[in-house]
Amino acid sequence: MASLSLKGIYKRYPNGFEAVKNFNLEIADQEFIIFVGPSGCGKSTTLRMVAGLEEISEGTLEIDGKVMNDVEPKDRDIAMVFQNYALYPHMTVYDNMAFGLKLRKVPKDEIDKAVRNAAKILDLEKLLDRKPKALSGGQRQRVAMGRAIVRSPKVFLMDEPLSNLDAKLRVQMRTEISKLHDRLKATIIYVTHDQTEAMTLGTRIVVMKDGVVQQVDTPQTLYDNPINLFVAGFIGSPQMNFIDVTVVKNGNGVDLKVGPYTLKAPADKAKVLLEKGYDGKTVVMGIRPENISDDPEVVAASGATIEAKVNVYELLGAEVFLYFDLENNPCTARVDPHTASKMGDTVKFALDMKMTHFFDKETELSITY
Amino acid sequence: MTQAQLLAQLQQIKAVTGAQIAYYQTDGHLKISTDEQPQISPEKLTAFLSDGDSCRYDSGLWFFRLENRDQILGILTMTSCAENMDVIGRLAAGQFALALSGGRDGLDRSSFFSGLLRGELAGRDIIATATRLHLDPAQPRLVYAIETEFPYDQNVQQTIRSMYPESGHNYLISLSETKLALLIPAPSQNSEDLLDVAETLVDMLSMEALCNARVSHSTVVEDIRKLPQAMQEASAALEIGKIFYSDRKVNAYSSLGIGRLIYQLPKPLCQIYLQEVFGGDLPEIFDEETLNLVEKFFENNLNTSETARKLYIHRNTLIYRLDKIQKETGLDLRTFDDALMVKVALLVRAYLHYQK
Repeated sequence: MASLSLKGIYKRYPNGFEAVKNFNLEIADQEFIIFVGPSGCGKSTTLRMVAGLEEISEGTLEIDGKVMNDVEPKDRDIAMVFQNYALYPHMTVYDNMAFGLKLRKVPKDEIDKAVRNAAKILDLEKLLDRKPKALSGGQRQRVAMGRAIVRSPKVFLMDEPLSNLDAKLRVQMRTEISKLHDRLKATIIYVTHDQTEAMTLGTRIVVMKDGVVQQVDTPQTLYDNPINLFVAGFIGSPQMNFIDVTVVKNGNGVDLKVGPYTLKAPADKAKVLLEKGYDGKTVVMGIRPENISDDPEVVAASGATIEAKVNVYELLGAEVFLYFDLENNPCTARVDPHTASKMGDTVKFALDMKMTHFFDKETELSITY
Repeated sequence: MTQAQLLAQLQQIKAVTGAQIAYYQTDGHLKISTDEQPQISPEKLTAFLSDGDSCRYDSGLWFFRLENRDQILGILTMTSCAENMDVIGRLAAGQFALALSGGRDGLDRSSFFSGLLRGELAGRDIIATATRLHLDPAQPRLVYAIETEFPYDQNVQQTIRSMYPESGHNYLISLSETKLALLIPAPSQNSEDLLDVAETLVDMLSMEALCNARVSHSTVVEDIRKLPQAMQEASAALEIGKIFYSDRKVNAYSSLGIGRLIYQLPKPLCQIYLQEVFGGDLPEIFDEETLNLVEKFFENNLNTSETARKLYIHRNTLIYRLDKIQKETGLDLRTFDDALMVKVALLVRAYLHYQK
């Protein structure tokens, strides 16, 4: 397997559009790295540049210390699994998996060894003689993975490989891919727009927007310490609540004014807000849905409460989402499924201020990162 | 060419080489032979074609690929242990392939479709020829135009042919060193299904042939005489897609939107329009980030909440940026008229940029 180094990578199209800007990343051997971001953020373009399918306009790509910018895709020792795959209808599972190697004129005995080995890893041994029409959706997906595995590449590149599967199969295949990474000890770059997939699969996640890397870190760190408003909103479902608050110095502390409510900022965050000169300014306060409670005991003990009318009540079995507006800021609370709150009720909510994040309204960067 | 004429050809080759010879169709079924032939499974024969080899020796039998002008016509098998059998067999296969192509009034199906898509059969009686070739003139068909970034190699053709085997319905035609046309029976009338085929072609060419490609498709035609027009549609979709939708790898002729309209406009008219909307070139405020925001705003039907959600930004941030655009350009994108004007202007700008 291999390590990769992407230094100052840019992708510019003839019409001047920059799809990827100054992309820098070191990927360690055997890492499972995820590129995540909304559609059009440049994640697939970056992957295709690593594959050699798109030319790198500027910057350097290294695989195992060797510059790969001008190396043909076939000589990069990579294998890809993309969203829209097709199995060759008239070929058996064996031939489908062997096809890529045959194109490369690999000797027959080597092909046979590679196919049988991949089939064993993917639990396809008993299906090698079957035609695609006799396979289930999950089995077909595994065959598609098998085509990549037989090549024994240095790097696996996967671009939304599960997007065309139904929700149940997607969850199942997510587990399979995770197991596969453990078994193959492979370096994998995986592109997705689905933050759940990113959080569950990756050892590290690269969050991208408008062709620019926003933050690179472990899933937990991204969730706990987002660098800006975008990452805070993108990672986590339902997304983080954002509330415009005015910072008012009160002795050594900070009051946060939102409509008729005054919330006390935690001491460490108050200190940073004052040090960075936000007294009297409006900032965006972020708080995750699970840090808002309607439990009467929590509310009674909390020093930071607000009152709002529940617009929507959504029961998901293990939890309930309550949707409400706080001074024109749409908010969601993730509460106990046995909550007494119902749609239309005016409910008191407690905010866990220790778990709040603060962002500059203009730059959208985290103030307390 | 009749069955008897083909057999006569094989007998002639047999007389020279001393080998028993059989001709199999592309689907692996025996068409004609000089003698009783050993049992060969159609899978084995089609696998030989898929492998892309021109000849192979396997278990006492020679296999030769029958090909003419990039079109696979079938397989010739020969039983002989003579020296230089690979050379002799290749010559025989070449001669037989010529005989096959030369039959049916000088046109086989592949040559017919190739000529038809290239617009070379305009003066002929297309329906009569199609009937002679046992083709259903009313079968719903469509054309996919495939353009590779660099000259395509055999792997590209092999990948496509394996997805769409040439079994009498699918035809892959070389148009230039970077362009191919794939003619297939319409899998459905549903535009999403037709686009799925294009997306799968792009991804499969990336995965298997490690090749970057763009694919576009025509509308479905139910009259074989309209295939030249379908070819033009697919080619136009490829070109228009490159100009106006450079982020897309696939395009359908039926959904090129306003891009197709602007493609027809004369350049001076476009320049006048840009002058009218922006007073010249694009104002500085439209940097890439803002252009992306504007595009998303249009995609979401000028809905601020939905756009903010898609961009993962606060709604107030979006409103602030739209206000800023209005302040600097006088264009309020939240109003339909201004939004329409800017949308068209951005497309016109892309068109002029491409022409440069």
